[in-house]
This record gives sequence, structure tokens and C-alpha cells, in this order.
Amino acid sequence: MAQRSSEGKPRKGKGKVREKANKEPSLLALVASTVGSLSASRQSAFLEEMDDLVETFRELLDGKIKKVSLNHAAAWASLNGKAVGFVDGGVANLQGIGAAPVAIRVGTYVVRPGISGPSRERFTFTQHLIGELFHTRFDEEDSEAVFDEPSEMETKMRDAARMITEASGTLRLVEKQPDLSLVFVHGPLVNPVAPYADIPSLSKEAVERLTDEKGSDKEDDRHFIAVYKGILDRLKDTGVPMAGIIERSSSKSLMNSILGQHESSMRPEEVGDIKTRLKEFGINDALLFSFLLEAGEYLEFQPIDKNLRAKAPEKWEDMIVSYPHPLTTILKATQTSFPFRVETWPKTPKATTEELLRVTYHMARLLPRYAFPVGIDIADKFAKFPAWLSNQLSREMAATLLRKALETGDPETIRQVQMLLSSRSRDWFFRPSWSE
Amino acid sequence: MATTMKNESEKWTPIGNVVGTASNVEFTFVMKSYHGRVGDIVAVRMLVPSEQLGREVTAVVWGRVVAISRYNPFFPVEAAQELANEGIRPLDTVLSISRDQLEARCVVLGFTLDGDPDFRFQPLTYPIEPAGEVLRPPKDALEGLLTGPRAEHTDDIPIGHLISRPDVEVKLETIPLLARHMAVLAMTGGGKTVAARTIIHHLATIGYPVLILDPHGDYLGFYHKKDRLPDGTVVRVFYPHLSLSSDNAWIVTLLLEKMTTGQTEPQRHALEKLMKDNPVSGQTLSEYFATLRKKAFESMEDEDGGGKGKGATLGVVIRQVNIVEHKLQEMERMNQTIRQRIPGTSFEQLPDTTREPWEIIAPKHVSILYLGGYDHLTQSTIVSIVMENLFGHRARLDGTIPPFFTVVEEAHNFIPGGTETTAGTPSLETLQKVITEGRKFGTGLLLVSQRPSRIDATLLSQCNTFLVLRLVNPNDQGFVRRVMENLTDEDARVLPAFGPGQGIVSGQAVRFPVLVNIRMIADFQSPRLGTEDFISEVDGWRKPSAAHKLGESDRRIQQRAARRKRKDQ
Repeated sequence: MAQRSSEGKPRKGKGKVREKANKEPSLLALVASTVGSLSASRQSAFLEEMDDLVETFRELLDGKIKKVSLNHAAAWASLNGKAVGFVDGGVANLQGIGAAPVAIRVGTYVVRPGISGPSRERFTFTQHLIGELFHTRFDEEDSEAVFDEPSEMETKMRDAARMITEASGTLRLVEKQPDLSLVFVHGPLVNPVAPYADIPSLSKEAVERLTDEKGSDKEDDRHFIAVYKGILDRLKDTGVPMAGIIERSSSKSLMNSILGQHESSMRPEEVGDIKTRLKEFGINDALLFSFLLEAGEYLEFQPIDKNLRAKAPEKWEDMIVSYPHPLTTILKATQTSFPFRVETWPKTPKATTEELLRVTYHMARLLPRYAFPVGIDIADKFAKFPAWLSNQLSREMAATLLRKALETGDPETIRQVQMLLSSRSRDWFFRPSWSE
Repeated sequence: MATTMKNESEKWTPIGNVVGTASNVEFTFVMKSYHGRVGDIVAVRMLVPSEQLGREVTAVVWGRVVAISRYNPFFPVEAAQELANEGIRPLDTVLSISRDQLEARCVVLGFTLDGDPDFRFQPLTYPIEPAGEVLRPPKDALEGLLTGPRAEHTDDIPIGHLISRPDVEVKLETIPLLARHMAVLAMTGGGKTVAARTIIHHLATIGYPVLILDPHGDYLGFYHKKDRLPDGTVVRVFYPHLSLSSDNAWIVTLLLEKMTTGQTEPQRHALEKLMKDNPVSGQTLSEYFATLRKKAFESMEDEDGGGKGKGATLGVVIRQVNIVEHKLQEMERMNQTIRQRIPGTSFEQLPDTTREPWEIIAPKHVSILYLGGYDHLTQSTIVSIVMENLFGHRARLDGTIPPFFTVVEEAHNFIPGGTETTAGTPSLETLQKVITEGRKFGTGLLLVSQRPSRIDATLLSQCNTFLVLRLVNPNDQGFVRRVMENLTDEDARVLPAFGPGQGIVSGQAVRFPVLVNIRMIADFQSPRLGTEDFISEVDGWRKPSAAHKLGESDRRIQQRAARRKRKDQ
């Protein structure tokens, strides 16, 4: 249990969670969604436990909670004429026809506040991967695929393809426009990579497309973990101030990091008790800091290791532990919103991190209800594949498949393709046909 | 001019592409920024089925932009609220302000075959091609399209130019206009009189007889600037002078009924007997009322011996006749006073429309009947008699007057409808006849009104050509929407946004509805009655002089003498 005050009386600030939850419907909704999955006894104890945890973390974070002053005029004046970039990836929702179609693109938005005219804004797609997810033995010679071979880990392969394409798109933007003052990316700057250790290597053509360098003949050099690390290192080395913004994070990394930092000053049973309660009550960073932070408040940046040695497979251990440890914080933009996580590169000077946060906060204030940086929201809308485009791509692929089948002239092939194209989850796909 | 795109491709500017589901009646296209406006006529070149099954021909499909929506999907509403609250400019932030998307909605006008020099218009019966390239046509092609296959267009009326294309003139075809009537509808200041003047000017130029029923003197500029009309053009300005005949003796009863508190049955009988005993014979209204009054006095003296009841009834009738006679005289005086305030105008007494119609209607004649000073009932009565007689000449084909065109200003006062009092508007029936049968006899009307919703809907819908300028009143907009069959909802919505002189013209005088900027002919603007500098007049105001007081004295003496004279009679 958390330490109580010496007299055993409730500590200062107790009861605030209930008060806040009552005042702010959005927080109440978050609480309700979390509480819904708990047992009856835990539901009744939730607010009290939450109150205690918030108070405990507030004590642990004494002096580490900072605040950005709201001053639009000064914040935007500081960016006058400077180029600010935003990056986001878009993934098309393609219906499963053929091997495994994939369509990912990276949209970027660069703006110079305070400048009018055509040079103020630039929207570009800096990277894209469109084709098959993996090669098969039936592929034609000139066909393109992201990975060398098929695998059962298709979901992980898609995730990896998305992450590396977004990093590559960001790299292209930064390398082609070195005068960028700040760059904001939708999503983490660094992702955990250990879960992807077993996926096939990237194809040569994919590596070339993603890195603008010739793909190695060695499979391991073309593995996602190696290529992604190379791109992140290049990104970090550009020296351009960069922030990754993560919304609605279900992560507990910040809480764990804070507890880790206080291991020497806390009894192990208390740390264990807190961790147990966080787990039992389903409390994550977003929920805890929704109650802990006020509008404009954030934690001091702290390094987070997302690629722990303990989780790394032996083959990739050395490379995984050498991944950058991003500096991370969490910021609450408005009183009624959830906080979002902000990451930047390690060793970023304090003045730069403060500038990144100041701009992030003022951008989020321009979307007071969503409370998310508006520049990233713009890049998100730009990069997103509209439904009509996804549908059209699916139709095109279906038409190509059918045309190829018809070209064979083989009635059985044509019949199979027809059945494949018209199949739905509960239809007659696997039933015998009338001719059998 | 042919629409062959091969030869003129450099002039046909691509401005967008068709998006969404297109049909044969409308389509939407995403438009290049600043490359089009509402009212623009655009073209899509595509294949359409020919009359032979399975074969196709190249066509140019024409459309009119009826609405353009513009939005920036990257500029969130909540950001705008924050900017407003904080007093910051979007430009100074990271917000995107450049990603406008323009979607233009078009109604399909029809198609012409590619290369057809006559631009023969056909209805489109095949959907517009999705993703088709939308083109901005060159001037020659547009003018050819607007004019069509008519060989000679010298008589057409150049009403103005396309609202978004100052280089493309819009003309009204004269024949349907003269035979089948036109309505010009607009709020005050919308430009309806300017439009009417443009039409009149053109008709005067080609020598077509025009009669203008002018309650406010808006058309007196034609008289003052008649030297700017072609040689031989006669412009005459008349003031009302009506002769009664047996055909229009009903007017006497009507005026007595409407200008007084009304008549009882015995009073009506007494009046009818009086009129029967004293039939009209070419007198003016005032003269006939004086006759009636005199005869009534005589009868009353006779009746006094026969019974007090009849004498009292006649007494009331005499008072009623007195009232009407007095009001008519007042209005005549008012008309005269206003006429005197218009310097340089030689007003003539309106000739007898029964006996001398050619004095009013003749080739190269513009006749203005100035109705200022008269109330609506009397104006309506005057118009009724004049139009009845003139139409009668045409309908009898007696060869006395040629076909002519009549401009009816403030038409809502002469052909009221709906909730308006139609019973006391004699001109309604007359103009109804002219509108219904005018096409057979060449008596076209130009109805000009600022309150279309007060016009009789059936009559207004008989107009085959409409020019609707700015209309703000929702009742008027709704009414126009109902009456004009080919006005789209978008067209109706744009009516209040028109600037002075901007409007939509549709009907038989044009091939399809077009947005037009009316040509302003400044030469024929009227003396500014009602907009004089009254402030200066007040500044220079002095107490009535002794001479003025003497004049007042003279007036009282004359009035007294007139009363005595009437009493003696």
C-alpha cells in the first residue's frame, strides 16, 4: 500500500479524483470504460485506489511536473518564417485478394507560419509502398513485394512495413529539406522491434526504396530490425529537432519508468504493490495522468528504453539494445482532454525540448476538443487513404486477377477465381459446385 | 461558329474534371481555383449514342454552373473558434489555409454535335462521362451557342453580357418577346427599370411602337434624350384624359363604389336610373360626374313632391358623386403639379384612344402615359380603358394601329393576385385578355414589378420570358420559383446575392437560362423625381411671402365661387 501521512489522516489532495471525474465527463467516460471490465469489488474500490495512486505519483514526481504558459502570440511569433514539418502515414484498407496486397504512403506537410503566398505550405508524399506484402514462388520476375517470402506472421509484417515506411518518409523529408526547424511525427519516433525478430527479411527492392541505398545480398542485413535501425540512426543524426506524438497511449512505460527511477528510495514491497494495483485496476499512463496533470502541465522528459535486452532474442540482442532511447513526456493540453505522449531524440538540448513542447501545446490548443497538435491532424488527413481510393484499388486488383484467370483459358482456374472473388465470410465458397 | 475542338483546342481551357455520379441532367466537377464562377457555361466533350444502335457520335455537352462549394478540409472548425477567441491570424500558425477544394455543380443544358456550325441544341439522353474534362469555351463558341441557328440576328435585343464573361454578349430574341410577353422582376434598385429601358431603346431603334404606362416618370428620359434615338423617332408624353363611352360606363359605378363608403341597394338603383336617363356620350369622367350631379339635383327637386325617401336617397348619391368628382379633380391637380416639377417636358392630353389611336400607337413612336398623382384605382381604371380600346383596334383588325409593345411599370398594381383586392382593379381583366390573346394580335407586354408575389400568378406564368434580378423578399423568391418552371433551386438561392443589374434570364427569348449583367444605357435615365435635394430645399426655406399669401387668398375665393355655383345648379 502507498505511504499514508504520519498521523494516518488523508493526505492533501485526496478525493480529487472523484471530484475531477464528476466535473469532467470525458474523464468519467474513460473511468467507466476501464471500470467496466473489472470485478464488482474492484469497481467499488476504483476511485479510492485511483486517488491514492495519483497522490503517490504526485509525491514521486515532486518538482518534475512542469507547465507551459498559454501565450499564442509569443508561441507563433517564435516560429515566424521558420519551416515546420509534419509527417504521417496512411494505410489503405484493401480487401484480401491475391497474396496480400499492401498500400502504405507517407504524407508530409511543411508550413512557414507568418508567411503568405505559395511558399507558405507544401504537401508532398515522400514515400509509398504499394504492391504485395511478400514474394511467392508464383511471382513474375518484375513483381514487387515488401518481404522476401510469405509467413504466417502477416499482421506483424504489415506493422513492420508501416513503421519502416513512415520512418523512411520522415527521413526523406528531412534529408530533402534540411532547413526544417522542427519536425513532428504522428506516432512514436522509436518502436519496440523485438516482436518482429522472426518475420522474413525485406526484399532488395523494398530496401532500396526505403533507404535509397542498394539492398544487401545478405538476408540479415535486409531484416527489418537492421534496416529500421539504420533509418532511425540517420534520422537522429540529421540533428533536426523532432517529436513523435502518440495519442491515446495504452502504454504503462512512463509509470514504470518513474517507479524504476525511485527504486532506490522506495521499499521493493511498495513498488510491487503499486505495480500490482496498476495491473489489477487496468490503469495506464493516459488514465493516471488524466487525473494527475492540469491543462498545460507535462512531465520532465525522461529516457525510455523500449527495446530492452531482456526481451531481445539472442540473434538480434546487440542490435536491439543499441536502438535509441527516446526522451519521453506526457502533456495534457486542455482540462477536459486526455494527455498525449511526446517523444524526442536522446540528447536533445533542454531548450529544444521546451520549444518542441511549447509548439506542441499551442498546436493542440488550436484543436481544443480533440486536444491534439493540429499540424499532425492536417498531415493525418492528407496521408489518409480515402475509402473510394481503397475500394478502387480493391476493384482494380480483382479485375486483374480475373483477367489473368481468363487468359489461361482453363475453366477450373476461372471457376476458382470466380469463387474467390465472390466469396464472403458466410457463403458457399467451400461448398461443392453444381458441376461436381 | 463550329465547336470543332481540333481547330480551337487552344481556346478551350480545361478547368476541371467530372467527379461523383453524373447523370444526363446534372453533374459535379472539381474546379481549378479561380477558373470559374456561378453562372459560367462550361462544356464536356464526350461520345453519345447516335440514332443507329451501337454507334456513337462526338458531342459537346453544355452545362451551366449553378453552385460552387468551397471548403478546406484541413481547417477545423474548432481551430477557427480558438483563433477568434485568442485574436490570432491563421496565417501566423501552422494551420493550412491553401488547400481549398472547389466543387462546382452544373445543370446540363443540352448538347450540340461537335463541328455543327449552327449549334443545333439537343436534349442529352446519355449520362455525362465520369472524370470527363470540363472546358471553358471560347467567346465565339459561346456566342454561337447563345444565338443558335437563326440566320439573321439583327433584330435581337442586346440585353447585356454573361455575368462571368464580359466578352460574351447576351441577346434576347425579339419575336417571342414581342408576341408572348416578358416579365422583369426585381426589388427596388435591382435594375429592372434599367433593363426595361434597354429593351425599349432597342425597340425604338428598330421603329417598333412602344407604349409605356409610367406611374413614376421613370421613362421620361426617352423624351428628354429623344435626339439620341434614330432619326424620325417620335417620343410623346401624355397625361390621362379619359372619354367615357357606353362600353366603359361601368367605370362610373365602380369609382362610386370604391371611392366612397359604398352604396346601398336603393342608392345603386337611383344611380343606375340616373345613368340610364343620362347616357354617356364621349364626355370625360369629370364632365360626366358633373352632369350626373346636375341631373340628380333636378330629380331630387322633382322627387321632393313625390316622397321624402327617394329625395334622401338621391341626396346621398349626389354627395357620393361630389366626393368622386372632387377626388378626380384633386388627382388631376396633383398630376398637373407633378408635371410642372418636370421641366423641359411638353405633356400632351391623352388623345381619344377610340377615335385617334394612331396618335399613340404608330411606327417609330414611343408613347409615355404618365400616371403620377393618381391613386391605384384610378390608374388601374385609366389603364383598363386605354388598353381595352387599343387592344380592341388590334383585335378587330381595323387597320388603325400596327402591332405594339406595352411596358407596364408597377405591374403588381395593375394585375394583382392572391390576397390583393382584385375586384377593384379594372385593369386586371383587360390585361388578362391582352396577355391571353395578345400573341394573336401583336400586343406584347413587358411586366415590370418589384413585388412579384403580389402579381396574379396565372397571368405572370403566361409570360414566356423572364428576367429576374435581385430579389430579397422570401415571398417573392418563392413565388418566382413557383412561376418560372426552369428556375433551379440554386438559381433561386442566388437571387438575393445579385448586384444591381445582375440577374437570370430564361424563357423563349433565350435558348437556355443564363446569368446576365444588364447593359446600362445611361443616356435615357429620367429626371430624378423623388430623389431631389430636399435638404437644400429645407435649408433655403422662408416663411410664406405676402404674394404667396395673396395666392392662397385667390385659391380660397375660387373654391368658394365653385361651391356656390354647384349649389345654384
